[in-house]
Amino acid sequence: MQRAWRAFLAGILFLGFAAAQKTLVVAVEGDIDTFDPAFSVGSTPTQTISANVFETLIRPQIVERTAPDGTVYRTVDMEQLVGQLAESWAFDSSDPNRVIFRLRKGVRYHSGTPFNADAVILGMRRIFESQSITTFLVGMGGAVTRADQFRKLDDYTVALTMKQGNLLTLKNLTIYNSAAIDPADLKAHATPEDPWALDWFKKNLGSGTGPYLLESYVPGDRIVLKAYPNYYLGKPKIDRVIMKIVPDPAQRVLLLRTGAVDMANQVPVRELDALKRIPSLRVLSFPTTTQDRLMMNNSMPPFDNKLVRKAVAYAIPYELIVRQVYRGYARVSVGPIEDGMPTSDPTAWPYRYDPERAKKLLAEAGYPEGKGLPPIKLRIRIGKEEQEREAVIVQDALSKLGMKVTIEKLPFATFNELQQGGKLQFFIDDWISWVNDPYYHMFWNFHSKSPTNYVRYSNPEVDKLIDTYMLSRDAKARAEASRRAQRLISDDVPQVYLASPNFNVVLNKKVTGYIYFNDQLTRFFYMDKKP
Amino acid sequence: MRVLRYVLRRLALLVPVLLGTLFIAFFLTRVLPGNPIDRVAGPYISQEKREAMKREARLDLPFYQQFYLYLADLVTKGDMGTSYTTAQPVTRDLLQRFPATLELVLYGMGLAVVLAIPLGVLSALHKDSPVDHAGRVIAVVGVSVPVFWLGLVLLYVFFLKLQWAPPPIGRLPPTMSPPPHVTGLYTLDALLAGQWDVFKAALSALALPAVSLAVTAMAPLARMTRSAMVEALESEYVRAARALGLPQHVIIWDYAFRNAVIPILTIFAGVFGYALGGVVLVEFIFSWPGLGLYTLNAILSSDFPAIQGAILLVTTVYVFIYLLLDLAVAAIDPRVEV
Amino acid sequence: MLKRVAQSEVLYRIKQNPTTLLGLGIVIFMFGLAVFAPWVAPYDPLEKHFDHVSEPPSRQFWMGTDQFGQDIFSRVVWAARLDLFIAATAVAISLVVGSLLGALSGYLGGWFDEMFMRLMDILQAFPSLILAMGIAFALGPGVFTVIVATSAVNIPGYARLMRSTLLSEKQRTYVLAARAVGNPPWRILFRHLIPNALTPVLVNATLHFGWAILEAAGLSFLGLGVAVPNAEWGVMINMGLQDFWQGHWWAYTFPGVFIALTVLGFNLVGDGLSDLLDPRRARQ
Repeated sequence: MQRAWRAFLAGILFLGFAAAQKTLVVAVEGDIDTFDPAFSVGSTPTQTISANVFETLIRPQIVERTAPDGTVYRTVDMEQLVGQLAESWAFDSSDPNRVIFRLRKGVRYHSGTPFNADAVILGMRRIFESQSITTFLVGMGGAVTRADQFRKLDDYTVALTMKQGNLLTLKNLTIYNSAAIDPADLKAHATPEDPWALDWFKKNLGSGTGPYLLESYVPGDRIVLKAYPNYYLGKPKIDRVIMKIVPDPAQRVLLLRTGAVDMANQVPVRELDALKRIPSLRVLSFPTTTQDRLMMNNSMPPFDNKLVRKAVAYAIPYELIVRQVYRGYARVSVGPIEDGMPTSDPTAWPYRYDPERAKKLLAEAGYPEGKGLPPIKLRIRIGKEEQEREAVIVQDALSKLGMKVTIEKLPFATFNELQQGGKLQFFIDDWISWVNDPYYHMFWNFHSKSPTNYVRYSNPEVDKLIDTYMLSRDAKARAEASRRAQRLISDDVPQVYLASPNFNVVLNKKVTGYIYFNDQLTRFFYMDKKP
Repeated sequence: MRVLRYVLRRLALLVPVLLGTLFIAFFLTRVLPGNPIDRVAGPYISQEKREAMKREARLDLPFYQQFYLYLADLVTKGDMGTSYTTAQPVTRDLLQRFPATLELVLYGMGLAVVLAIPLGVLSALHKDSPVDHAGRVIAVVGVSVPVFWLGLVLLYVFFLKLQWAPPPIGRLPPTMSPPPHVTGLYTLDALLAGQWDVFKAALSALALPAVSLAVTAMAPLARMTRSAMVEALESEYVRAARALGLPQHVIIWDYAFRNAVIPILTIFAGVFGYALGGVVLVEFIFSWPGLGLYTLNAILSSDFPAIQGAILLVTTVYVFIYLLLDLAVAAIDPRVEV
Repeated sequence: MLKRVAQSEVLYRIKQNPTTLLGLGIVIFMFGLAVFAPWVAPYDPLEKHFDHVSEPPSRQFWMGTDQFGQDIFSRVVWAARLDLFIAATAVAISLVVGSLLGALSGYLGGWFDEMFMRLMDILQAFPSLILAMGIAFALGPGVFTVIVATSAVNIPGYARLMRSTLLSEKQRTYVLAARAVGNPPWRILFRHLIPNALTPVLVNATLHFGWAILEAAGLSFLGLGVAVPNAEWGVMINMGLQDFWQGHWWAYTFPGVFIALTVLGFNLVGDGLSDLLDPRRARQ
């Protein structure tokens, strides 16, 4: 009797436990290439983990927006920065170049280590001394170049003194690369040769302050996160997140269809219409500032000739790409600064599909009907399906002008090395500025000194406008200069914008609370799953 | 003792071969521009930092030094470096991926043998009859069909249309946890742990990829079985056995087949090597988290340590299979001098 | 050996063997398609009909269209040209290079032979597709790469075959006689040894032809070979894979059938040839 009773009780407990346990299964596209938040840049799953396990001092405010089709969705607004690990922040009233962060009290890392000003300072020293990505971001315009520009005022107050007080630097600090790591981890794993424990942090997920921590990682198969019960904003509603690694996008869709996963992003657009018809699924499609770009190396023939670049800009059937490649889940791009980014000016960019004009321009450039053109190779990365389709359409469109183009697919690393070395003549890539700021965008893409100015574009006037106004706090002058720069860039056409694709997420209808962040990484904390 | 010496001598001969394959893998990865650092580091990193990362990965050294140091680490520490795509030691990655491929290949080859040998024997018994012609056509068609296309067709029929097969997403449904690790072969481990549902799920996930492999592998086996059996059946001792009036099944299996085993075993090695290559295509289609997919991903992402490790492991397995079969032949065949 | 079987007898035997005839028919048909592609194909293989995207087979597009509205029938036909070209070149390269090296090695003997055979051991320790993938990675994708990768993995096979036939021929009386009358070594090699060892090598080449097509298509299928949107069977299956889950079976089925048919043709011919030239069979 007693035994039966025990079994019954155990059964109840088990059921209760199972009901309380909410597991979200997400299909993701790849492995973890590093666990170190300071250095994660390549794979989206890596970045997603960093964004859920670690936290930054400040973050962009969550706001509601209305999509073109009338649906209301939640996203973030970079123009409003609010506290995260800092309770609040403000420019110092006595020093306009100084920002004071007041830290949240009672926050503990997953390991139990208390979070305080010392942790922030130590984290910043690690970032600067190991020259991580953050140094590049906050170093824009020379605003912050040394760790000691961060100062501890007391246990829960940190001050940052910048070369010039500005908002761009603060926006840059919202990127997870500057996340606060656990001083205890650092202490335990630092070695004389590796004082910042770079090797350990690369291979192991450290303890953070965020809502989730690692439960297990099976490379090539799955990454499992579990909720941090003592999270200072309350225990997350979803207890476990299983990130199932499914590199093939079509198979991610399949898993959604069969109900085996609750969520997938990077879903191929050709599947979205069909997925919308499945009653258990919800397709979210957010307009973004992402650009698919046809890149023409401004220092290599024939694209060193502005007229050739203009001919290409008029030759592309933009509407066809939106319809054919993106099935309508994209917008025709409006120019160098995309719609959705502050100060975007659609009137600056005159290029529409006009093959006759393109032919004339090509003739004017000295290549009538394409005669005399050097060989042109259009390079794309292996495995980027939409870009592959764009390449085929571009090839077809240019062949009508008489430009013979061969498509070449390159492995990722080869492509990157050639791209970063400025050695690609003609290629397609995509770009989204995580920091939704026109100067951030223009600096990385159009400044002659930018390492990511892959087309070797150089216009001294544009450089000067960017340098002058990047760190300015005069909003009006900053906006005007941005519009001026957009006209200059549009006239030079260093790159052509094939489309501005939406960001698409497909969810089970039971899953709620998804927020579109500009970095396109999922924050599981805001989400819930109905039984 | 003589046998042991023979085995050791054969093993010693493998060392230069494996060194050679490793050297080729090293060479191939370093021909093209592009190195894993650029992928991991991205553009937002200073030139010095990039150089430092290259130094740390020894990519700044001349080719032969990289090779030497890699060998030294491998031999002294069993260290194959760290993968740039999984952030884990390559040895750990390989150990985890290897059972997936092994299980797939075992089932695929097992199936091929089970299908091919009766087919070959049947063809030989009914030489030049319609049965023989049909068997021959099946075998030739099997080896002519591209394995990746066959996988797609099987998926179309058995998953998309009939919905008998599970979705091609690896070894288990994503919500099911693998059985407790013993061998890494999920079907075996599930049985050992008594987890029937896991066993069934693992087996049904194996079905289509294993069949795809088996179809392309069975053709040469069937063909060799047939010709070896034909020869054996026409031999003196089988005739003698017939004259003695031994029952048919004894003649076929105990006399003829036993003598046909050696050529079958010999061709099996070649078939196995073909399957180890073809498994890349099968794993690609079925998202099978094995060595083949690992190698492909490593190649596509220029993950040098992973490419080297994977190639070394695949070639090692391959030459060992060869060796084992040679030894088996030596054990069976009295004509082979040990 | 070919010379010893009277020519009329060869023809007779081929006629007696329906499967070989079938294979021969397929092979001739495929070469015909390749040569006459511009006349057979109703459309240009790269012509895009954006109003007819991913359509199933119809009267206008016999095998349907792909995601760019390209006519699959025309592409399959043109692909015969590219695939047969790749396979033929790859087989020719591996045959010539492999046979010459094998012959040289067998003829010279000594340390050169020893080194060369160890090198061949190493190359053969790779499963062929893995080695081809490595080579494709090192050279970067493209038609040239596919040819190099496909021929490189075949070289050891020819080299070994040539070498072993040569070693057995070397001891025969006519070679000994030629040497005795003072012929220079290179002349013995080219005049006597290579021609006599050529028969098995050629049989092998026929079988390898089909295999080369499979290997080349596999590389392109993985994205390591010929680039989109070129008409090549592996590329077409790869493009078809993108629409697989929508049930667009025609996009990958037809190129797959063409690969299978072509390979089948070569295999049947190769089988027939090896039966025909097998001395044990010839005696019967």
